[in-house]
Amino acid sequence: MYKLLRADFYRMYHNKRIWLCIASMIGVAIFFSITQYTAMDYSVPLSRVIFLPLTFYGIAIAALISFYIGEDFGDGVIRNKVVAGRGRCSIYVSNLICGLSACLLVYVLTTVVTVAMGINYFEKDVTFVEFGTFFALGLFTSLVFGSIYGMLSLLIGNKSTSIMVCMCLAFGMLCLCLHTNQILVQQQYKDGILNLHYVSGAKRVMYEFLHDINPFGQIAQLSSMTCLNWKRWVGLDILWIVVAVGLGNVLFQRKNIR
Amino acid sequence: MEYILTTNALTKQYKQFKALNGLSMHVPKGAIYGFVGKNGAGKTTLIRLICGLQEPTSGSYTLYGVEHSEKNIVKSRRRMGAVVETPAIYLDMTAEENLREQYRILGIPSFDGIQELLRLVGLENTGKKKAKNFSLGMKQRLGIAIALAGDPDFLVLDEPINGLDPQGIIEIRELILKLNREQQITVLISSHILDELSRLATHYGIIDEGHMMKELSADELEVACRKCIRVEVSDTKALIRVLDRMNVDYKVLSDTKADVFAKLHITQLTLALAQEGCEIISVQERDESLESYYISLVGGGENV
Repeated sequence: MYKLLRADFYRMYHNKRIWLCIASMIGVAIFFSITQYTAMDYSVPLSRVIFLPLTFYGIAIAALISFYIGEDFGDGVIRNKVVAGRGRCSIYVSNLICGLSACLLVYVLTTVVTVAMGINYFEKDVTFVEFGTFFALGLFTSLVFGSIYGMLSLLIGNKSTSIMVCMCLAFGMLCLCLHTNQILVQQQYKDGILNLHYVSGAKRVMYEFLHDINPFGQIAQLSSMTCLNWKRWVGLDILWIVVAVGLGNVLFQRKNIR
Repeated sequence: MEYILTTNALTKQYKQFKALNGLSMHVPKGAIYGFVGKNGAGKTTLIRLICGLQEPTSGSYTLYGVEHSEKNIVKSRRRMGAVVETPAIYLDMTAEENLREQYRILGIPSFDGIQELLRLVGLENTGKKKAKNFSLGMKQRLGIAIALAGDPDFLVLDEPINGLDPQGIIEIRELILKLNREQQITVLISSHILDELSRLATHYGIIDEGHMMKELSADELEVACRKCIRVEVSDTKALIRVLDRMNVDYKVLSDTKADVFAKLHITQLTLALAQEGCEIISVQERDESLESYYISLVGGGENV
């Protein structure tokens, strides 16, 4: 396992796509910060900016992970690992760990750059504890993104198909998030009149659940530094990760590698 | 005889299609085993199974005497190297970087052997050239170098000369012979290019529709394909009497035809047959090759 990890991390480090992904996300962070700073007449609070660039995170990570893992199948190098006597479980876990590390690196660097720029230009309305709490929740969301895309890429076993599936899934989850977010942000009363678009009761619980289980929904909450239910957020993330690691690993054992 | 690989009634089924259908084969130690069959016969499927890329539906195989269902098969597999279909290389890395990556996967602590491997496959001067800019022959040789990285004593090559130019074919052939003769590496090489295979192989396995049609050594093939003279006469009984008197080896094919496995003095044969009242209708020299032997065995095919 250690040998595989060493080989996979070396490849990740020398893979220009991870650096391209980091550069893109930092570019987005700088762009968002400048836009927020220059476009508004009033002083923008830091809480509105700090996690805003992560809106694109799920899509960038989908491309990175599916490319990185898909390459192992596309170039056929996964065969070398199996013939070298490395177990399927080790291959799966090593690829996943490497992918998750890349996700965390992109997340941390993007957030650090945004914070570094933000504290100089925006109204400081975020305490260190608040930032730390949301940053930690974001770490869980990062792991979920990495686990889902990693599992799919490893089970699909074809570079172009895994890129297509991961990107479609990313956009699908983004669309779902936009829909649930639009429903959940509705106020119960608008100008003292009952808002007909406001949902309540079981329907609202279902929408909240959909928003929480969807990592893009979590990113939406993160970008506005609001949280519906942090326990549910973390619980669902752990469930995602367990399914991706456990079920994915079981299915990978049976996979016919070409 | 000591066998590196044996398979016993190995079957691999994809939904309704049986890619391997009760295949049994034996690869002797030190051999260059030519695995012959048309496209879709099941050659690559067998290689995928023995490499652990896929699991058999039924049947079994042993590698260095270890059953595939045993845990130790992983250790046996570490003694083999394989190039399955296309060479498994990272295209955005150089030849040396690719080998270093394989060394890491194998857990070999020192990279000292890399230059030697590159020299062995003739890629020592590729420098910083990325594998994506290599010719097909160079990629194939790099694939073999990677397969050799763990110092295996069993090398599995799946169609290694497909798509190569004549020079590339010669280079790969010489490399395989060198590995077999100088390093005593047993080689399993699948191909449907029979002429090329016949220049290399010491043993053959002929597969058709997932089933082993025939396993034989190169010597046995030579006997089966030996040169002969096919004689067509009006009376084979007379021919038999004459050939027995001449003390030559022959095989009667029909009432009028026989194959004679000796250098015949045609005038002498004609006179002797004339004395027996037998006419010669035709005399043909026949020289069977692996190809004609294969055709006679599997009945030919579109992709041979």
